Amino acid sequence: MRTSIWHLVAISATLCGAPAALAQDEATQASTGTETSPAPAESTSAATDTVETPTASDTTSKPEWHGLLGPLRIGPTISLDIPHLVSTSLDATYNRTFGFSISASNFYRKFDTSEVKRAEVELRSFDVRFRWFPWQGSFFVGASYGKQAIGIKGKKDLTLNFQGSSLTVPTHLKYTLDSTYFTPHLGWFATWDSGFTMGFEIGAQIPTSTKSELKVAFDNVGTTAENEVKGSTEYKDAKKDVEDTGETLGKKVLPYINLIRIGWLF
Amino acid sequence: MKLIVTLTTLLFMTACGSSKIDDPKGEKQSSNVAVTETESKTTGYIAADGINPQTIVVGRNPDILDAAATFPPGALKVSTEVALQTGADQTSQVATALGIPAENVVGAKANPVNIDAAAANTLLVQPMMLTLPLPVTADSLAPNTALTSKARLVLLYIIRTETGYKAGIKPFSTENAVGTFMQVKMAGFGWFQIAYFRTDLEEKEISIDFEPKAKG
Repeated sequence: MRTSIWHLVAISATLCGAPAALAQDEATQASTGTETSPAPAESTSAATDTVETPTASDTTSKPEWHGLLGPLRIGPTISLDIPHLVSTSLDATYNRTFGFSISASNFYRKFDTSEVKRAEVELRSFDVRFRWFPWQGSFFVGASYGKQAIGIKGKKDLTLNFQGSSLTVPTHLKYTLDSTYFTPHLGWFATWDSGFTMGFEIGAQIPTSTKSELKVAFDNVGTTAENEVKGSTEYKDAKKDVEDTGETLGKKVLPYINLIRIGWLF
Repeated sequence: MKLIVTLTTLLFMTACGSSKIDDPKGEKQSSNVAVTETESKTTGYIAADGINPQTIVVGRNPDILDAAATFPPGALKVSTEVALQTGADQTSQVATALGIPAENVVGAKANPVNIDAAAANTLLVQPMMLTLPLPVTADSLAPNTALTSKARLVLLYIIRTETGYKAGIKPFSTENAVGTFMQVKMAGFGWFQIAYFRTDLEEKEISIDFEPKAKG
């Protein structure tokens, strides 16, 4: 894992060299009042492809890195991350100094196993985040705050010992774990003049609150029997154990690794 | 700008949409014919020419909640209303008729169910499927209850057949267990009760000279 992360750091640093270099060029222009070609550093052929030769009017009216809304660039990105898998975001940067974002993910799968029938898994999240680019380059430090919900559902036959006979009761279980989290992180968020955006992030997801719930329903179980079972101390204790275990796990700090973020800021 | 607004809206819809995972819902039999229910009686109309099984399930009477009778196509010669209500206390009478010693009777654990047709002396052409809830309690599911090693669960019944009234006994087994219900075919309308006994009892049916009764 560590090697992979360093590879990503190396790749990203190479790729992000262009915007960082451009930012330095802009800073030089601003201080000297001279106009230089905003062509990126020679080391990045990908960046070179995206930069067009500016016209005279362009260079006098606005810097190359401005977007449709001037220093405010805004647009969609999609990312592959742990623990939310695939997230879509609306990202914005202002003056290459601050960044804001709202992100959402919604992962859902249905499957069968030999143990559990009609299993369903869902992972949803929504967060807002803030980024600060201390050197007006692509490196940033940031934080996000959001909510996530994990849901698991399945059907399993339970065998109950009833007065010496065994009863097979198809049982539906749904477990949900809702939590709010705070994620301090740092990373690279590079936006080329064309708008192409790419980056990655690493941090820690710190839960601020968790709520765990187990819901159970049975097939072919009489109302009286269901009330008896669900009202029993054993059932309540077992349910509480599951929920408490879930909450304990939910309170653990998780690594946050955004493997790659790609998008376009206009 | 339109694109950004659209994307933002889509993002919020994705995030704020309801979960795709529904709350779990258990399934059990429900009436598929029109029924009239009171606290003591559940009545449904069974059509003689029905092409699908017709089921009446007790939904309000707390004594026999979830008890059900299903009539297959051709079960009745004439259409009639069928009522499910609490049965009279006939446990000892049936046990005695079946020759079960009094000391073997642990006690009735479920309320008896009386099922009868409105049309007098209606007989079943095809057996009905009777579904009765087992007297499951939290204690009865515990592995070390006193009853576990001693009790035997059986269905006692009195039915009306073409050849007169019959009393019988059907032991509970995994073959007639459906969830926490006992499901058996019955050849006639009558009185049915799940009860515990202290010894193993085999399936048995005899002719009797008393009739099934509803409570009250």
